[in-house]
Amino acid sequence: MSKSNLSKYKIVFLGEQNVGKTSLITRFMYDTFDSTYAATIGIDFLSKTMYLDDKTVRLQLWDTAGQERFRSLIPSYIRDSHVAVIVYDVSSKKSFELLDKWIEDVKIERGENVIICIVGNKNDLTDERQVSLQDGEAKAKAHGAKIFLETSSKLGYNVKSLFKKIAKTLPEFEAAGKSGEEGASEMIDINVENTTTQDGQCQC
Amino acid sequence: MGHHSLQAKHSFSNSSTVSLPAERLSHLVVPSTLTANYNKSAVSKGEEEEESFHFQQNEQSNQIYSDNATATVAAVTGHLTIPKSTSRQKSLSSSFNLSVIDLYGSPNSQEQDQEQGEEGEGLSDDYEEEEPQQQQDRKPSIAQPQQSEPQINKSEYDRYGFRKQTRSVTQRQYDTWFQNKYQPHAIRRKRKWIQLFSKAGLATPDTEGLKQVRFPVKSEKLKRFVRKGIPAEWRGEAWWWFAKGNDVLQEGLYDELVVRSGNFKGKDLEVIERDLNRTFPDNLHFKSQEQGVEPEMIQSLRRVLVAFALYQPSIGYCQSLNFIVGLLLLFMSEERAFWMLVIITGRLLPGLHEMNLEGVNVSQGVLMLGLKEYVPSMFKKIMNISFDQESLKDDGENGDGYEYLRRIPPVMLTTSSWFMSVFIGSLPVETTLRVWDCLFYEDSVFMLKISLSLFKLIETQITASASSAASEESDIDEMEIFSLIQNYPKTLIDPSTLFDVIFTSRNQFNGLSQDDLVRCRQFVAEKRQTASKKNKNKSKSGGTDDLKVSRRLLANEDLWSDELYGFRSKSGAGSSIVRWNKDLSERVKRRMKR
Repeated sequence: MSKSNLSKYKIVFLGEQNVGKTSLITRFMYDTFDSTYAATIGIDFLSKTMYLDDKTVRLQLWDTAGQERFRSLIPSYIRDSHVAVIVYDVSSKKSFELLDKWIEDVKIERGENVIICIVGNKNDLTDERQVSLQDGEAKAKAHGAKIFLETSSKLGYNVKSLFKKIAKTLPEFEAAGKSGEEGASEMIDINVENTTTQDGQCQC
Repeated sequence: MGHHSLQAKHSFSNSSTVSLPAERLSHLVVPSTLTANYNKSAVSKGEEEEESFHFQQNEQSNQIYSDNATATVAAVTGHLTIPKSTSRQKSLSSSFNLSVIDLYGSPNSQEQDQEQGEEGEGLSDDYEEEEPQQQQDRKPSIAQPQQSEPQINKSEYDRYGFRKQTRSVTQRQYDTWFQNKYQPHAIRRKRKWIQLFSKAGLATPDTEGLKQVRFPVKSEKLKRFVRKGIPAEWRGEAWWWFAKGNDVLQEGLYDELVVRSGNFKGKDLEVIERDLNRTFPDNLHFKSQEQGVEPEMIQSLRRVLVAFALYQPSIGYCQSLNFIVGLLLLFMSEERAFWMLVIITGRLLPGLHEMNLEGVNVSQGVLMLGLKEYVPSMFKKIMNISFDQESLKDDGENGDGYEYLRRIPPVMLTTSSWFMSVFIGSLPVETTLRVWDCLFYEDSVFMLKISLSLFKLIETQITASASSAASEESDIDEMEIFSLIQNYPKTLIDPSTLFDVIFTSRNQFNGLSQDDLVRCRQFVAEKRQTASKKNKNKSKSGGTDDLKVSRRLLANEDLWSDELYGFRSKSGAGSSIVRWNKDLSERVKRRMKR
């Protein structure tokens, strides 16, 4: 059973209600998109095995509820996460302003021992945009986020590359990440194998 | 032809009752001549037209229906809880006037003879599994030529309008199970319910329309009936009755709140708004059929949620209430759904939706204690993956071995949503409804019983997978446990898989009473309270609120007594409070016998 030897990394998705955390994860996991997803209550957990550069890691994705009061339940998830993906909706200024709160939560729990990603989702909503790309970048810089991207789960835009970038920050792939800094074109092709959690057991 | 008889039926029934649009009905009650007519004409027009025919039909009957309903209700208001404003008081409730013949084929007199023996007078606690042998014996009589065969719902949606297919269940699996197993079960159960009513000298809910519905007095037999499922079209009435809706109902208040909510500007409003379309996006009734037209269900949902936020500011709006109200609205009027929400959030799930969600922690603490007592292997696993032994040792400050009640293990956030959403989304729809049937009848201790049953099943899964992989059990890591807890329940389309566990007398937790639960809750709340008192000095955040809710949970009940229940006199850490509760149950039972 090689799976128990796989390195596992926790990636927690945070951000306000209805910014598209679930849809980002669903796009990555299943490459599908629905215009509406049922609201996430508490936490949802998914895992996926990722192959990159002859190496394999297992990603645990933690999808969380966005409503403010759920924040009191979430710290225990942040506690041992490697990556925190904090999502806002480019068509909602408020969701952008509230990023600070989430980042603060992460820093309280993890200090500097966590990779922070900031993601501006729904960038297909060009007419309704309330947050510019520049503002997003500036905020990411200000908070020392390692990764900043605008995505569209609807169009599948930048979703894969978000996860590639995340993978490259993990110890396994750090070397690869450094050599190909910012060069999306040099990115090693990634194969993502779908391991649904239940038959994950017999993946030998 | 089909059109005609369908509408005739509608106008007829509307003369005595507030009813639901044909669209909703046809999903709820598949095996009926109503749908039979509709199906026949639909089939003759070809499969593809089925849906469009359906919706067309629906619009027409809807029209007629609402006119009639307004008139009717105006005539009968006064002695019923259904207010005048009918446009938002439609429900898919039991009041719809469908005869049994329409629903499930003819209730032959011969059935009586055959059925009598089976249910018998036995008052045993044991869950009687439906015996396949008996099913077969009965078959011929169901299949009498003059009777209508139950119709088969081939659409993508189930009888409540939910998409049959989910991430965990295929439509094929659903259809196979429903047609071969669940539909016959539902038909059989409905007949028995009718007999039950007639023996009790009561009218069955759906033949009496607006008359006050009464259910038989609580008894072991009735409990067993409820555990085997309340007929879907009576659920609204039954839930209301068993949850004692009339006790909390304040006539007219809901309407008043709706009016007042026009001026409500709380921040919950926005949060509610964002969740409306994210409530059952896979259910027909919650989906917009026409671009730009908001489904009535969504409008009802908004009114109830906003009215509730106004009525109960300590809760306001909490994500998950949308699902609870959404499901209620499929079975009852807005007003009743509103009061049921009051009951659920106040009495059944106290504190679970409050601002700081402290009730969630308490409920999960109770579940941990339950696991420790009744599913110890799962308790150990959860402890192993959640705490390193060191951190448990320096439990120090309180040093009572209950650190896991103060720091609820992360895995328990998955089970938190079981409680917050009352299993909606965690279990398949029909299974969820069966849980709800029992919850309102048996009170919130049922939540604990079902949760423990689920863990029993999960435990079996783990054992199975561990032995098939020929690996050590300890190989199971957090991720796997997490996904089993989260995903396995979603596969349980057949409620009996779950209910068989809870109703076998082998499981001692079946004997837990509501009092046991209440005391267990108090115990956890108190343990957490000592922690937050201490934390209060350390950090400003959260502590006081936690304290407040814990206090409220404690104040709720005056059953707490050291002398009688002897928590503290018990020799500290090792003793399990649930075991202790079993002793108590015994004592009470003995006293009852005397």
